[in-house]
Amino acid sequence: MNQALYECISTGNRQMDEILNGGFPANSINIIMGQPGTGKTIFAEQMVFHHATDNDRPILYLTTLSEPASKVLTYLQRFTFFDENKIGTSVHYQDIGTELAQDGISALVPFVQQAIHSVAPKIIVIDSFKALHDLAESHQEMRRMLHSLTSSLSAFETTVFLVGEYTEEDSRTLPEFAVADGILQFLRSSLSTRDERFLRVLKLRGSSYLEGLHGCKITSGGLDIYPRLITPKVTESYNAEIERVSSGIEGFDDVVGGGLLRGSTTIVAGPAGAGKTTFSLQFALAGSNHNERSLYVNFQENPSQLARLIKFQGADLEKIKAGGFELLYVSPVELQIDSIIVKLFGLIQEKNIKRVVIDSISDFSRSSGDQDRLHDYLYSMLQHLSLKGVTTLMTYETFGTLMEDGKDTGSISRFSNMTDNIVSLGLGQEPDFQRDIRCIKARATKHDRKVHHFDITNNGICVS
Amino acid sequence: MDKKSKLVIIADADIQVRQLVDRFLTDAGYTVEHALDGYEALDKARKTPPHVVLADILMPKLDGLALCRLLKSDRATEHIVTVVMFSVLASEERAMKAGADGFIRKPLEKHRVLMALEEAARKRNGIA
Repeated sequence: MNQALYECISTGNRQMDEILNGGFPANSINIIMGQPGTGKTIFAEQMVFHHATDNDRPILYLTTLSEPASKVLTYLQRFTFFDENKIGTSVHYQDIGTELAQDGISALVPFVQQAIHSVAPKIIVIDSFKALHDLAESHQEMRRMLHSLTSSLSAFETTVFLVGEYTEEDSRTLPEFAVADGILQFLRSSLSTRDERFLRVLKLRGSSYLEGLHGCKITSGGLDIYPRLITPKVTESYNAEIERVSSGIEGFDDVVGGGLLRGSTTIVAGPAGAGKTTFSLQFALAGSNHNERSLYVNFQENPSQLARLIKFQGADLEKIKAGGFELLYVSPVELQIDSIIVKLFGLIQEKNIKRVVIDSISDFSRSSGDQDRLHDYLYSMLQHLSLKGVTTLMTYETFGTLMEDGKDTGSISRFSNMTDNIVSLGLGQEPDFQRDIRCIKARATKHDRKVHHFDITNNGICVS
Repeated sequence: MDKKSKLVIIADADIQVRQLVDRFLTDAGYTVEHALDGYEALDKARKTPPHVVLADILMPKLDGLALCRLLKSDRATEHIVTVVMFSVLASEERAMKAGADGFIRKPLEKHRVLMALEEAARKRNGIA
């Protein structure tokens, strides 16, 4: 079968192309929709400059009634993808607001037809297309203009993007959505004091695109896009992994049958001060003794606080970093799970990481307004890590000691199904308040279910 | 041969396609006539044999492939260069079997249209 029929045009963003399964279909008509400030124009501009090459047909960017071309250019030059040399040569900006205001929407089709012959654009962007509805004297006039426009655009070899401040209701009622081959929606939602941006593909004819909400962020380079994490294609491995990985915590390996299974996931739960960070840090630091690179993802202690903790455990941060210990600190205030996942997988791939600590999933939980989405993310992430043979340890803060009197006192149960082991740390009881540790769950392992005391010494945690 | 003396019949039910190709060809110096269906194109070709018939496949009454076969089966019109234009690339083989000298995939772009016409003419007549 000839692939020329299924030619895609890249968005200029690797992650977005991944979501679209290659890009937008060539010679298609697409809608980029979203409320003001969601990032739709930046996305369109980034794509335009990606395709702006000297030895090819140019790109035509038409501004209508929302913003004049000069204003678009003023803000555009702040982005690193902007190239002044392309303006007027490979990217043609034209403001048709005046013509539209004078002659109504009927001015658009002749203008585009003329441009097809004078500029022969390989890509046409009309921004804002929705604004044309405000000029249409009737629904019928808009329909007729749209029919004529899409007929003209479909006859000519060009890919079209109609950008507009459309709402979801618009996507169900306005006629351009029926003729569009692809629809990309940009969204913004408030979470506490910050905003999160998302995008999703609502329609893409002839393509198996990645469904759902994908995180995105506006940076000086344009849009950073984080495809939604999905469960890996091969989730079931019938090869029983029996290799044990030493936790590096004195006395603990015996509790879990000789160490943690390679590729397994462990939750270390407990109240504040129980020793979760010390426990997980010790596990990560022990990687160097077994030729395993470790990644410590931290949303609690800033780098300086963490350096003190590492020093307390008798290690030198610079030295262990040189030996392959990776730190990824993100402030919990700025935490967006989508972006963390992309960074995390990038590091695991690049550095051949075999031990990962996430301190803590409570922060993930707080950063995600949608708990179902968080659950899906964590499940998919842990499946990916397991397949890569990465042994993972995650901390989880509870209000009291987990499973006191056999009852689950925390909200950990929703994470239980996705983890192999659950270890509970406690602050101890009066009069000596000696910390205790108990392995509540250890999949495929004959584990010790007794409560053991432990101490935090200069050498870290020692389980008695 | 001067392009001005070359007549091209554009046979397509879609007015936007006819107008688009018309502009491409007239800008390049061709003379153009329109036909809305296969029979109209056939009648015109028989009355005033053009240099090229550029035909879409999906046309009412007589489709582009049947038009090609009729033109090629008549000694009076068999010399006419026939180019089929269609959005499905896999139709090229059917077009060639119907006797077409060239095929061009829709949507159309000026240089591809002109190149397709010239190549089809070269193939049929041995001249550009």
